[in-house]
Amino acid sequence: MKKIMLVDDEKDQIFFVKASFKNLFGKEYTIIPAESGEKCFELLQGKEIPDVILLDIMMPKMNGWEVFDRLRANPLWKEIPIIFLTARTDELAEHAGALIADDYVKKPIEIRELKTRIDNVLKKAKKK
Amino acid sequence: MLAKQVMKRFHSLKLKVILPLLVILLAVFLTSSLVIIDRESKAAKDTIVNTAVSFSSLSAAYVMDNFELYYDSGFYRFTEVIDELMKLNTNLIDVQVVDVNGKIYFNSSEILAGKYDERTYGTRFLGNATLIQRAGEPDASVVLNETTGRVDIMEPFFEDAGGHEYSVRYVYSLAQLDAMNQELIVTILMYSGVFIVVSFFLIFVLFNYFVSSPIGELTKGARAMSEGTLGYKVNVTSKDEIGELATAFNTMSADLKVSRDNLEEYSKNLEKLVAERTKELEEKTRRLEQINQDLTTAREELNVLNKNLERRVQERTQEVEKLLKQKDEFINQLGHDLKNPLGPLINLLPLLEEQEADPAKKEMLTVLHRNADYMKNLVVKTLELAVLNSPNTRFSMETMHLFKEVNQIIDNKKILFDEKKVGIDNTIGRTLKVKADRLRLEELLTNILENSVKYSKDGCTITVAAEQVNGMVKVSIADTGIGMTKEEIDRIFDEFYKADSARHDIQSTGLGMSICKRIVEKHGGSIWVESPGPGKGTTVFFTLPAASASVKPKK
Repeated sequence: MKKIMLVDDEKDQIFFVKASFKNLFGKEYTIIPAESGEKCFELLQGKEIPDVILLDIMMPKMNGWEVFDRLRANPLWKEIPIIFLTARTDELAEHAGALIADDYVKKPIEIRELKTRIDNVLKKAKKK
Repeated sequence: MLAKQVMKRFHSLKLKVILPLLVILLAVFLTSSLVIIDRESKAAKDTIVNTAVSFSSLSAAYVMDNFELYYDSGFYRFTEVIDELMKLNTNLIDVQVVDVNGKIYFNSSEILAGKYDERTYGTRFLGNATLIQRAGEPDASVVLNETTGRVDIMEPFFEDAGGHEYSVRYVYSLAQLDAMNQELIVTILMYSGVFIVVSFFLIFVLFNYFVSSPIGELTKGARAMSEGTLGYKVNVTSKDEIGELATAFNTMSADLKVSRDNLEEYSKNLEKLVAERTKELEEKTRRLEQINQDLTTAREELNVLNKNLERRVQERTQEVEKLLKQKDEFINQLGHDLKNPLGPLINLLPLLEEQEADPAKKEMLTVLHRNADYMKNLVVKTLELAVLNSPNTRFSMETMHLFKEVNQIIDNKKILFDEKKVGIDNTIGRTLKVKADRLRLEELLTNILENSVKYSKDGCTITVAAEQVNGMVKVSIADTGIGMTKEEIDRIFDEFYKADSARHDIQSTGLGMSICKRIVEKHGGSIWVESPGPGKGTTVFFTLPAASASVKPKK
């Protein structure tokens, strides 16, 4: 079972991702929702280490970049693959996402494409 | 001062003419005077000498008679006789009686000087041998001594018997001659003086009349003319050269006056004209200055306007830039806000659709699902196009292996191909590298592949190939689908153009190829479509800069 942490402030987003994964892929994936950056660290500190983190960029208080920087700064979490989720079309978000993260997925998310990308990222991480 | 005046006098024409004339006259007169004096003097001397000779010869017998007569009774009486003789001839200054041997018996000068000594008579001789010899001569001898101015005449006396025993010696003085000469010179000088004065006066008057005063008159005229009094008439009536000169002068003067009058008139006219022209010119200058000032003012106003305009343009540009940024920001925000709600729609609707058992409800969900998909496509592609059209969008070019990139994309979109069972044949060489923006390249290939899949029949294969041509890599994506007409090919890159508009394809937004064209052009490449005709498949070509080439992407 693959543990996927989804960091997104919108509950509907979390809901449909979770529902879709459950419906389409059953128990192959477990979605661990985090409604904010703070919640994400809370969970991580509670020894909930996911196989991959899906990180939304546009979030109130702590945005995706800050979360990313803190994750990469911590030796315990820096190896966790990160896939950015972005609804913004600005190149800064896309490029930076593509360069520093393992992958990125443009919103609106298509669950099957997201799954492919997650699998690819996990494959790459395993090779390391 | 005086010397200067004298010099001036000396330089005067009068002096130059009259002085030489006078000198010549004087020379002539003196020469002639000297000749006259010489001749007169010689004549007078001859007269005196001749008189003396005849007086001597006539008086010798008388002298001797009286000598003999008064010899014994003393010479007192005889002296009186001699006095009388001397009164008769005033030139006679001495009478001597001597014998043939030269013995002196009487000497009138001694007696007259009171040196009379009877005892000495007949004892002394004449002073020199010549005189003694002459006393002995039987003929009268005349000796003229010019140096002493004396005439010495020895007159022999013969007695009746004819014997020659005594001679009378007469001594005459030529002093009278000198007196005469002096008188003559004085007279001549007197005359000559009078003559010179008269001549000078005459010459002066004549010169004045004929030469000096006309010249003076001319000079006056010339001076008058030089002082500006033209038309001065010189009053000279003579017919000589000066007269001609005067006439010529008068003509010239009159002509000059006429000329000057003409000139003055002309000058006046000219002055008037110049004044008029100057006034006109001043007027024109004033107007020009006015125009100039107006121009300067206008220019300044224009400058101000220009600056205002520049400022406004700048402000407007900044405004526009700000607005553009705001627009971009708006699009991004809008994108975020539009895309997020689409996620649940496009993912949950198919789930419901699948799970629905009631065919009527299932169909409803199918329509919802299809429309949600269409809306998702429209939103995503419209926003993509807006971003590509924004001048603020920058591409980040990287060198990458084309084969690998294409494979990655195929891998990511695997589900799409699996659905239609369409195979993708990637024939790109493994070493071929391009310079491209990774994300845009993905977008480009996804769009083209989606199109190819859409218009392909199930089970077909799409072939992706690439080759390097010059500095560019030409990529081709060939399908064996429905193909295109020429009209469709011509319009395929138009925004919102749909190849099969009649069918009203719900899957197509008509923006995909526009996005592709924009991406390729921003890479400095080109994109085109080829198709042998409907039903014969379509090939999309595009070029990207090869990794070795230095083609800069367009903004």
